Amino acid sequence: MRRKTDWTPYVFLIAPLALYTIFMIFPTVYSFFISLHNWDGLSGVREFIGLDNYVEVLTEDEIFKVSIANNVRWAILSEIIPIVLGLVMAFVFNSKMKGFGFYRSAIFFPSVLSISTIGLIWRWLYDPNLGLLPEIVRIVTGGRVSFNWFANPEHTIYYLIIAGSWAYSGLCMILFMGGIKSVPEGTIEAAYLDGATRMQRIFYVILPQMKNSINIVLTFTLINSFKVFDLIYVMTAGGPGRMTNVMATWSYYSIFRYYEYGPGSAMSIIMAIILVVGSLIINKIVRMQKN
Amino acid sequence: MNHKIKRTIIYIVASIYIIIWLLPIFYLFIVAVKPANEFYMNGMFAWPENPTLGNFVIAWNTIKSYFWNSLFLVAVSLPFIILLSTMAAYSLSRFSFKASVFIIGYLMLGMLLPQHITLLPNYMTLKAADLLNTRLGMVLVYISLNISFTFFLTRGHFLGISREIEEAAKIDGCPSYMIFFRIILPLSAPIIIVSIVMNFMNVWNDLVLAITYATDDAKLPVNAGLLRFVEQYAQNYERMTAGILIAILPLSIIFIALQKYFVAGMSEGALKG
Repeated sequence: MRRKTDWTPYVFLIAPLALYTIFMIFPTVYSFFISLHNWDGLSGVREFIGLDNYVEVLTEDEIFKVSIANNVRWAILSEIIPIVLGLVMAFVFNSKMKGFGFYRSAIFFPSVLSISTIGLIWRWLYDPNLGLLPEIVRIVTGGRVSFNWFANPEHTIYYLIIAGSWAYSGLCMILFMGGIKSVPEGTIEAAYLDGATRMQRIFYVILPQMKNSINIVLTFTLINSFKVFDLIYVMTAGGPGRMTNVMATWSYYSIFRYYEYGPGSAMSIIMAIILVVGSLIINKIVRMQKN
Repeated sequence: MNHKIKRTIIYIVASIYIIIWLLPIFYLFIVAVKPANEFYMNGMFAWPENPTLGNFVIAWNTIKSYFWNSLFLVAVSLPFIILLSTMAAYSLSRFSFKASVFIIGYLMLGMLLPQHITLLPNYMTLKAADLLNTRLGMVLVYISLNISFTFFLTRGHFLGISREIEEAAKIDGCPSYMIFFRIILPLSAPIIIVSIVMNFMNVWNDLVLAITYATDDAKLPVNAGLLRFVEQYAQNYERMTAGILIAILPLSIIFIALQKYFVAGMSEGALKG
């Protein structure tokens, strides 16, 4: 008897693959195509210029350099502030005491909100005129220190990173709690019986055993740092003086505000290359460590 | 006795910490219930003298259309995201054919690539199809961009489901598409709830796709609309804060009700990313 072919998987794959190809893969290829052209999007004139846009973006565009530097700053500081804060909070709030579930939820809560809402809230907290933080600083220091996040455009990015960290630390805490849970109770108990203090148990027993989850969070954070957009779009729109742009915002403004389709697309391709190559390298390292 | 004091101190310190941590949110509330101009007249730290919900009413009147737009986008795209992704996940976890390994890798690309790379080309595609500023256009983009993440989330789970029941069903002559709907999907309820929660968050919280593909005020989803609302009331903090609180309400409710799924989903998301 001839076995009939089961067509189910093919039929099931048609719609998802079609949509995914039209709106995800085709655009990626098309972005690359646009990046090889000189085109302002308005006129029909489109001239092939090879890699010129890439050369221009990487050598002449000062703001793109600022943007990359800001992405790197974002990555480095996000690997420190929310990670350390999240780790400390994970140990502090991991208690089985009554009511601590509520504390954990409260800390995690900002991570669930949209980044654009977080941005609106913090833009308002930082507001030099009637913002909460400048006012607190004014009262605490008796008016000697004025808090103005736009005073030095080169430093404004750090205020944005702090706002981002507030939203992100809760998620780090939750992820680390998962890591702590995966450490076998027996090893912690054994250390306790051997007379290790609480700090010793954390540093010598628990932390080394949750290396896996720490690695995951570090990687996840690194990759996300190169995708930042919403927070900056909402809080500063890249200003003051375009100094708070990152790759995603500068590429966006180049395309949709200045109609620089070619250079803007080149930037998004560079961003994609950094992300894909970065993820693959990290994956490889993680796999090598496992073996 | 000593132990009791220690416990009390722990609770007090933890509570103070939480209040500071959520100060931005509490402060939103305090300002939002103040009547117009009390914020300016009594100083920003003053406790609301005559609390009112009037600001919420005013904010709601402007925001409600954005709010319903978002709810519509979520309600329409979610079932498709879940259905299409799980169909792909089922096909690529239960059948192996020549191209299956390639297709899995092909779908993986979607998780590595940044959404930003799709903005301009999709803008052109939607423009060419006359779908800019339409709900259909936005829904198509939301579905397509969330397929690969949801595919990996659910496929991982499908691989872990024991095949014994399926084998039995197959011998009884149950066709594979029936196995998917009658066996695999019901057995995957937890991961499907996680997927729903995560995609609700992705669509509801989206900003960049909305501002790129919708410019018409009547078509704006909540985050993009909220931005306009805030620009409009930049000098009126009471209304602005009420607007922000309304915008975060749905997710807050879902968060309170389904917290463990948020935890599961966001942990998975980190793992996969």
